[in-house]
Amino acid sequence: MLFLESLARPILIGHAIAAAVLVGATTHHLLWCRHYLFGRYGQIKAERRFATICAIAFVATFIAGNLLYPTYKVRVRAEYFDNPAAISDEVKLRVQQHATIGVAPTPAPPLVASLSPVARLFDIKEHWVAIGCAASVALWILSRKLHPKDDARVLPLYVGLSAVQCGTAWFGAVVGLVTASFRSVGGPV
Amino acid sequence: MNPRVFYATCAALVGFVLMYTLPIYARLPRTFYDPVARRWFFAANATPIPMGYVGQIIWGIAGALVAGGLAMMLASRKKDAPSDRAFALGSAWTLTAIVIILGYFTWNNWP
Repeated sequence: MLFLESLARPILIGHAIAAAVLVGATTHHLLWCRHYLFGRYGQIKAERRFATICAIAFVATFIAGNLLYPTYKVRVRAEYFDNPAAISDEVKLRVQQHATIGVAPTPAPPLVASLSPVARLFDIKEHWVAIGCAASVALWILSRKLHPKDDARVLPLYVGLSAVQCGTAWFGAVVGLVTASFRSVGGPV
Repeated sequence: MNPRVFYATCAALVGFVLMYTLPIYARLPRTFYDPVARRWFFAANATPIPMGYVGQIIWGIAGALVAGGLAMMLASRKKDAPSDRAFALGSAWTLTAIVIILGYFTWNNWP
């Protein structure tokens, strides 16, 4: 049994919920920051609250993802994505099952490649979210200690970090869903 | 308004992204976790299964703490108020470092 493998499913659900909060909060934060570009600071209290929610959600999502990582690395990546034989067998089984349940059979692909490109896309996501998490914590510190309202010269960094935070959160969420789809609705090929 | 926070935040972020990347770029030793053997080890390279990600994050956090602490210390010695140019350069360096490192990992792992 791998580290926390028995808890992988509940951790994954917690990871997904935290990620949903993160995507919503970072999008809100970036949209509210756009007012600062025009010198409007009316929503500052709410914006600061969102900066805190973003940082907590980012760190929580990141920690949950790291706890799941050993299970992903062995059970998903090594045993499935990087294993063309497993993918090939699954394709054959699905084709057989199409006949059994009477749905129109989809022709099996002539060659079943490995899903290593998906795993590499997931690697890119890991690095993006690590940097996004650092940006989110930095943004939270700025929101508390040196807000653009107090010194407008911080504004480019503040809005830039909000954009990095939002972009990395969205990228992480989309790549996570794409990765998970390969053994569910999307099928293996 | 405390400009030391600005300098420290910029330096910590630049320190994080550079030191997070350095063990990959320069193949430096870092902490790996082998999920099959359930053991930790310190090495520059490993077979595909052991995870070097945690070691990379430790490098990044160490870089952020050192760079942020140094910037805080140096900024506290500076008597003058920071110029507009200092703010512009700090912001530009920080955001550029982030974009370059995101691009580096995307290029290196592109499917």
